[in-house]
Amino acid sequence: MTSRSPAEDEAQGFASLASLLRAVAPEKLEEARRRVVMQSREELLFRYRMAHIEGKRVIALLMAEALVRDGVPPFVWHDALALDGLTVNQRYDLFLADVMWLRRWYRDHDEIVRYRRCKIMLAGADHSFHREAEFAFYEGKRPAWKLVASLSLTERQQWDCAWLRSTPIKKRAAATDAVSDLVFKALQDDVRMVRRTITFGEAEALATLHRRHTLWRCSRMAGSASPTEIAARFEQMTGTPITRQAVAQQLEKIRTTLRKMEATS
Amino acid sequence: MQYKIDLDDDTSDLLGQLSHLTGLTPGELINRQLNAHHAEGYELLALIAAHPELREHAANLFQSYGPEPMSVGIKHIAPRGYLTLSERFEHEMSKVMNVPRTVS
Repeated sequence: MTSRSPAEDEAQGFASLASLLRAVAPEKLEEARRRVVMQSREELLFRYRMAHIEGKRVIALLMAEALVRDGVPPFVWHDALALDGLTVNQRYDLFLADVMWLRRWYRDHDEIVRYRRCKIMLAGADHSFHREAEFAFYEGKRPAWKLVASLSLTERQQWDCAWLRSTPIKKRAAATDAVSDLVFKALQDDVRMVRRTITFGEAEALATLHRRHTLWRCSRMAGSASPTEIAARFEQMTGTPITRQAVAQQLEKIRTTLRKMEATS
Repeated sequence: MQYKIDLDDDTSDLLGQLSHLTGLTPGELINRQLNAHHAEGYELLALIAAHPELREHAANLFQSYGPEPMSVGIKHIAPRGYLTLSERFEHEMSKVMNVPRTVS
């Protein structure tokens, strides 16, 4: 009852996560939560992904709670996970995680939402939150774009989310993914040309490459070219803070590399 | 869903006083009390789902359990090796938590 494989999930249809939670003795849940909060960000991400793939829904939810509390948005959790071909229960869990994120990090958002039940889902007590989330999801019959509209989500909020995204945001994310490898290669070629020194060896070059690639991805998600906004995204994605000055400097280098890439292709 | 239930005098008096104290309706109070015991109910249903032949024993257990927890009663009537939902959850949790993280 606490977990089913994705194949079993598909065969049995929608199962309420709230019911699965209630089936576990409260003291066991609390004990599990105490273990989860001891985990580092990277440990949490790794274990969340594992639980999600294996259909261990309650455990994935406990990891999700901790990730939300630590300020890691759902799109980061699913950076390494495919989002297509999901079962109805996996889709619901993604939806619930997005709502958990919105409840924690956009506390006043309910004020601009028009629908009473959506407001309760965003700002109501925990027990009503699960009830309203299930109502909104409607056993998977309500598409993500419709929920995005009902919740009046901004672009920024949609980029934070993994599942609650409108078609334009999904298309932009897909366009980024489509050229991601090409950009990585161009950045890699550029970093390869930098002379190695005692302080800039292979390890530093690799770190620079990953930093630039991540900054490029962040810049594609940010609504503007603001280094402050891109720096905030970078910290969400990596857990490492970066100054806006460093972002501005790195973005300039990235743009130069990409201009070169466009010129030669 | 609505049920019409008969309460004994003590329960009725207690609910009345708690309702007055908290502002919650008797229905809300009963829901809250029952919510705290959902896991026990699910444990019993899970046992019957896995072992339908124990239906009658499970019904007797529900009517007579306490002060020992339901899980102890389930262990008495379930076949050797049966894992309760809580035990299964603990196993799964340990499995997830004990896998060493692979660095990508």
